Amino acid sequence: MERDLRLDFFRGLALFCIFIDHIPGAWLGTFTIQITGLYDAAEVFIFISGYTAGLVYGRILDAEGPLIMTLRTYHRVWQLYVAHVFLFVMFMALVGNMTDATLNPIYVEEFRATDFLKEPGTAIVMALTLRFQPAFMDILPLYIVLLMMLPLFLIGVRGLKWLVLAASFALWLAVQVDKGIAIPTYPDPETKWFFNPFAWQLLFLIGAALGYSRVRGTDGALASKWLFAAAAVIAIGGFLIRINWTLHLFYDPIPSLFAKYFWLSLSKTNMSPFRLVNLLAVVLVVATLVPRQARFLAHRASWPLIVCGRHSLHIFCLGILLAAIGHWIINEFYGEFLLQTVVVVAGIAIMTAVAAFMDWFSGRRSERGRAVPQSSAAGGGS
Amino acid sequence: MTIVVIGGASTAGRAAGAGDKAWPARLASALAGRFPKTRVAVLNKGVARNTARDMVARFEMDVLAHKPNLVIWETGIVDAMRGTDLDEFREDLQSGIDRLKAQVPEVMLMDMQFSRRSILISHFSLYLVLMRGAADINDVALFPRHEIMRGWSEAGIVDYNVHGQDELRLLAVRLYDCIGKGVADFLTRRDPGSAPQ
Repeated sequence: MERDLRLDFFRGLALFCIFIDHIPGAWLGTFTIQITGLYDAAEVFIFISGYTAGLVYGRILDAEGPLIMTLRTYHRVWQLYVAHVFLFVMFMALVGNMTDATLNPIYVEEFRATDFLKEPGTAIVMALTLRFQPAFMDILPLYIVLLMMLPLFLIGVRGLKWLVLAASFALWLAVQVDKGIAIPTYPDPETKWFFNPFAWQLLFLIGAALGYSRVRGTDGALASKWLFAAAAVIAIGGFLIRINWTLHLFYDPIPSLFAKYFWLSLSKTNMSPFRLVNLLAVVLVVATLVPRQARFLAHRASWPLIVCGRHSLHIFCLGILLAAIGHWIINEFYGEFLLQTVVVVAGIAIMTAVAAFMDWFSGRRSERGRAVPQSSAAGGGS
Repeated sequence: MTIVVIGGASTAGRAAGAGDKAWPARLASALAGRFPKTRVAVLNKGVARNTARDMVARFEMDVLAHKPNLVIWETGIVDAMRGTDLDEFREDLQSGIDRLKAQVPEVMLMDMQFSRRSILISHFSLYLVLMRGAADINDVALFPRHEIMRGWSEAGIVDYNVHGQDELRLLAVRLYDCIGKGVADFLTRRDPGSAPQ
């Protein structure tokens, strides 16, 4: 099957946006994916990751059976886990050497976040068990847990599609009703994972189910005129509300409509229904309006996005690391507009260069070996 | 006229050594200098390590009982540090603002102190943005302490990197004095970020 460049393109876009959103105070952050609706880049990234995972591992499931598919998935989980641990170590190295990291009594009452430096043994165990998630370290653990759910889900989807989807929906719904359904974190067990996996699994698994249905050629069911019309109305509505808020941000006299209502109901942690529905509507509209052979995908300007999207695991990790370094640079040198822009542009350039190198390198390898591993040929880097 | 300040450690001001060096006391003296004829009482209700929810629980006794004309609610840092769920923090802020607005003529929020160590706190900026949103949506004032302190640091007016107990205490005294005056400027509609003495 030919590679669907739309997946790479939009995943690359989400990766760039996640990076920009992590740079403190960056003015560009106002103009990332979140400007288009009630969701943001994290949802786009998780949805596309779910879709690609459904595509890749669904194909393996059909060709090689559940055992091989499960082993392949858990091999990927292992890679993600190693990446997470590596990122954690890098982050600690950065933090441990910060100029202001000495205890300053003016903040000591408030900034006890460094307390874990006093008990590194416990902190490391908590990081290894994904309980300890310092700044920037929360989306990979989510991804790991979601991917761990995938094999069982795909096997279920084969025979009992609606039953497993209903179970996934029920779990999400349970979280909406009882916010206590969550995973506690270290050092304060009262606080929970920023991305609640019991809520976010619905988005990921809907993506996976759609990806798998493409493998089986049953994804035509969504090509309904009425469904498209409803999705378009939701997408436009979400866009208008969001653009109104952005305008209000820049020019106060413009009232922000519905803000007071949405203010308490746009939970990111628990994947509020507004975010979920708005995102799925936009996905449907974009997938319908943008054909796989869309001309802009072949344009030179799309290339950085596509190449980064193709190597998404590595580029995502690199982006997290660059964001932490960028954060440090901006705090250290009090960067405003200019420095923020430099940091963002430099970060994106580094991400693109590394992805381009990986592309070239893996191209060389596969030319020599004459055999591209199936998962990476079909949209690897799930 | 009565102003009640409810907040955390930086409001209590122990880092400066004595209560009269905390920023609410400096605010009181700045206001007394500007309005010699008005008796302005500023009550300091800062308690270290309070979350927004802890403070809301103290509103009845510590704030509303004093029938204040203005309440300044300094919060955010403990929640950001502990990683209080953003949704819960948003709800706590909203319920607190609702409580205050129902009984107090003027309400003002104050956001977190600036520190380079905020990099250690996941989503620190989201808590800042959230407080700005809370002020905006509820139409109450916000004293942008974080941005102002960052500005002082950047301009070299205040150097937060000092060592030794005495130097740190002096820094805290100076910082709280600047914040107190800044709030006085803010309330009297002068630019609060302009060069502190």
